[in-house]
Amino acid sequence: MASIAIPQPKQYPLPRSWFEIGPGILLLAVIGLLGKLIERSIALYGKSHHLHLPNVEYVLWAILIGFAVRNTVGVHPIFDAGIGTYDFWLKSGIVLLGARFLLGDVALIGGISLGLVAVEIAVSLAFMTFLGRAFGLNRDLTALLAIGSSVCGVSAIIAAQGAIDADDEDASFAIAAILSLGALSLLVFPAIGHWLHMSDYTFGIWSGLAVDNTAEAVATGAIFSDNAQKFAALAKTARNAMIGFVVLAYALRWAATAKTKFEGSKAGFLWKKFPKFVLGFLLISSLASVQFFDKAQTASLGNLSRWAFLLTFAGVGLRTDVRALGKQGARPFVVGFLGEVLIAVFTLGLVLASAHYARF
Amino acid sequence: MTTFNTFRNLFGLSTDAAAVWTALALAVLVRWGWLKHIPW
Repeated sequence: MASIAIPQPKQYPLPRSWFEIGPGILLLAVIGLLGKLIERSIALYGKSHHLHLPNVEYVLWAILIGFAVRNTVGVHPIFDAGIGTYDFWLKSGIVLLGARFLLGDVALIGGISLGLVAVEIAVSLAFMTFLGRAFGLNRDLTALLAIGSSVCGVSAIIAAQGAIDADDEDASFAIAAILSLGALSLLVFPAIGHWLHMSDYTFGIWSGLAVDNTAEAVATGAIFSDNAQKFAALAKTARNAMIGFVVLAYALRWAATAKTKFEGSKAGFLWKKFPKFVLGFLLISSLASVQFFDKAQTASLGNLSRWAFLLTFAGVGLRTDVRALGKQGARPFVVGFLGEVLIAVFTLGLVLASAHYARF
Repeated sequence: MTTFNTFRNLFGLSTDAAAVWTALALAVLVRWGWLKHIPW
C-alpha cells in the first residue's frame, strides 16, 4: 500500500559528506542560538525594566522558530540531510548526560523508573488496544498506536512495523498521531507541572514516562527546568530500553496468528532492537562514578550535552509539518489523543504516588 | 584492530554507534585537557 508522506528524518548511512549535512546542521545551530538569544534578551529586558517576565526557556523558542520556518516559508531540500541528524545529536546528548549521573543514582532512579515504566507500558497497551477496538481501527494500526504510545514513539513504531508486517500507511497514521500529540505535550505538560508545583524530579520522571517520542520527552523536561530535563532523559532511556521486549511480544503474538513468521532467536531479536546508546550512557556514568572526570570536566561534559540538545530541539520544530500531519485523518488522532490523556493522567498519579512513598 | 571491530560490531554502524563514539571521543578530549571550560 502506498505510504503517505510523513515528515520523518531519513536514516542516512554514516559517514556522510560534510557538504551534504553541513547546511542543515548550520540551520539547526542558527535556530537553536536564536532561541537562546531570545531567552536571554527577554531576561535582560525584564531585569533592566524591573519587570517580572515569565522565563520561557530557549527550548520552546527553538522549537517554535523551527516550526514556523517549516510551516511558512518551508525548508529547501538542501537542508534535509543535516536536519535528519537531529536524532544523532539527541543520542549524543543523552550519552554525555551520563556524566551528570553517578551509577548509584542511575541504579536507584533508573530502577524506580523501570518499575514505573513496566506499569505504564502494561496500562498504556491495554488502554490503546481498548480504544482502537472501540473506534474500529484495524488490528495493525491499533497495535502500532499502542506500541508507539507505551514505549518510545516513532522508533518503536518503525521497529514494530517490520515485526508485525504492518502496512506503510498504518505506520504513517500511527507516527502522525504520536508526533502531533508530542508537539501538544511540549506546551501542556510544563503548564500542568507549574500549576501543580511539581518538583524537578517528579516532573522529569512524568515527562519521561508519558511523552512518547524521546526528543519531545527531553524537550518537555527542558522547558520545565534544566534538572527536570536530566530526569526526563533518564526515565525515557529506561522506557526505550524496553522496546525489544514489547516488540518481541507483539511479533510472537502476530506469528501465533500466522500473519507473520518469527525467525531467529529471541535473544538475538532483543539485542537487535535494544537501543545501544543506552550502553554509552551507562559507560559515561560509570566513568563519572569512579571519578574519572573532575568537577570542571563534568561541568564541561554537561555543557556539551546541552549544545547537542540545542541542535536536537531546533530539529524537533523543523520536522513538524502541520499539512502532512493533517492529511492523516481524524480517527487515529482521536484514539491517540484519548489514549494519551488517559496515560498522562495515570502516569501523573503514579509518579506523584511513588514520590510520596519514596519521599523524593 | 580486533578490539576496534569488536566495538564496531557491538554498537553497529548506526546513529547509535556514531552518537556513542562521538560522546566517548569528546569525553576523552575533555578528560585529557584538550577541551576545557566549555561554556553554556
